Formats: sequence, structure tokens, C-alpha cells
Amino acid sequence: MAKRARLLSAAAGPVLPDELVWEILARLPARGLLRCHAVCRDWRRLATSADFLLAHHRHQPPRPLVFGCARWRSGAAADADAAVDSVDLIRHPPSAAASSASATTANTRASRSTPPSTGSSSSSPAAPSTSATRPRAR
Amino acid sequence: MAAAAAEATIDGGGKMIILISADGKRFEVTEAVASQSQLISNMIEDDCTENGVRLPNVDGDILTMVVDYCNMHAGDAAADGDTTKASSTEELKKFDAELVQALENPVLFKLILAANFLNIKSLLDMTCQRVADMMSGKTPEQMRETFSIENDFTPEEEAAIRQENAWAFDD
Repeated sequence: MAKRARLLSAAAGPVLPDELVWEILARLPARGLLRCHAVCRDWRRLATSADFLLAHHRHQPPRPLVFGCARWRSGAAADADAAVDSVDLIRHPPSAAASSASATTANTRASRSTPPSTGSSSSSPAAPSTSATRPRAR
Repeated sequence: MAAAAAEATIDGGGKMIILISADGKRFEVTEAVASQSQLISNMIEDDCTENGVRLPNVDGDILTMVVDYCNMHAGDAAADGDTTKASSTEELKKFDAELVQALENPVLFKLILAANFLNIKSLLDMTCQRVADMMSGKTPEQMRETFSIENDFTPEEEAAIRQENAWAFDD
């Protein structure tokens, strides 16, 4: 995050440095974090990086893998409500988690294989899911 | 407020330290209280707190809150068995909740910056969690407002991002 988004007149209060923004975003639930993707480029970069996703995962309450493939296949991606952090690495060792996570991601990506026509090359829609799986595959 | 400030007094066996805010307010606290700040704890070890600790980027009103917090929490870090100062866990939880509930953005951000500068991990955790809780129901526009961020996406890019995880943007 070398380049910062240009700032509005700082009427709203002090501006937090990147590392503190990181600390805050790492404590958001999945829905709030996904909304952060749309705030600005810096936040999107931060919130989709592998390092950040691991840190975010550590702040979330342990949760077993809850969503099944059927839900994604139905095409109603809109009602799936666990995306980033549904794999509990403590209960499910990385080897097992990695295979289920990548299987899930494959389904997710398949169900969204049509990129939005307006998508730009700099923000590829597949990027977040790719970076999300990388740490788990270790 | 500056009376006898430079003299380090002995009180209850703890050496006193003077903290001086950006606007010149002085706070006299025990070493046990002050050393919850890792920054000050390191300064105490290095013996450089004798003439008071100047905190040029912490305002007096923010430092008041930090000192209150540290006074309240001095018990958990230091005293095992010493019940004179140690507050009960419930009391602490109540104090923390009240401290943080009352805060809105500019002050809350200043408190986060102070907690980060002074390196008080528990206070930083608590304040960051509070901001996260406040953000969780907000739209991207409201988040930008809170953090003074300008939207640098084109409308098309933003629409595409919203489309990616449309469920997260439904209210």
C-alpha cells in the first residue's frame, strides 16, 4: 500500500495510518469486509491480500465449514452468507482444509465464470478467491 | 496542575512519573500504571523519565482517557493478591464498555492513534474493535466518510466489485 488514496478535507477527523486500518479491517465480519472492497483501491488491495486474509481469519470466532456446494450450484450466490472465513484451520488441519477450500473455490468461480462486462483488467473478479486459497494450500 | 510536577514522589511503594500532553497538561501516575504503555515501560527501563515524559502527539483530553484507562487496568497487570487497587473483572468490563461506547469518530481515532503511539495493546484492541463494530453496518460511502477517503474507482469498476459479492451489499 505504498500509494495512498487522495484524501478529502480532513474534516472527519485524523487519518489513520495503513497499519491501523489493517487492525480495524481485520476485526470486521465477512460482510463488512467485502463492502470494504468497494471503498477505494488501497482498501481493496489490502482486504484481498493473502497476509491480510490470514490475519483476518485469526480474529474471527472459530467456525466449522458450513456451506455446501448445492447452495452455490443453485445459482443463488446472493444468499450464501459465508465467504472468506468459513474454514476453521484449528479444527480442520490445513491439508484437509486446503482440499475442501479449493473445491469450494472452484465451485464458486464456476458459478461466477461470466465476468461483469464492465470489469477492468486491473481489478480482476477472480483475484480475491485466488489469493484466499493460497495460504490454505500451504 | 503543574504543582510539584518535577518531583518524583514515592507513593505506596511506586515511583511516580509525570506525563506531559501536547498542550502541556501534566498527569502524575505510578510506574505500575504508566508501564502498561510499552513505550513508557521501555523509557522507565532506560531511566529517562525523570524530567517527565513529553507526549507531543497526544492531546490532554485524549491523555486523560488513556490515564483513566491505565489507572483502572493497573490491577490486572501488576497485582496478584493485592486487592486494594485491582478492580474486579466485571467492573473493568463495564468501565471499558462505557469508555468506548461514548466515543464517536474524531475522538475515537485520536484514542487509537494514542494507544498505538504509546503501545498499549489492550486499549488498541478495544478501540479498533469498537470502530469495526461501528463499521459493520455501513455502506462503502459511509466508510469513506468515516475514514476521509476519496473514491478512486470508476463507476464501472465499483459496480463490478459490488457485483462480485452482491449479497454483502444488500441491506
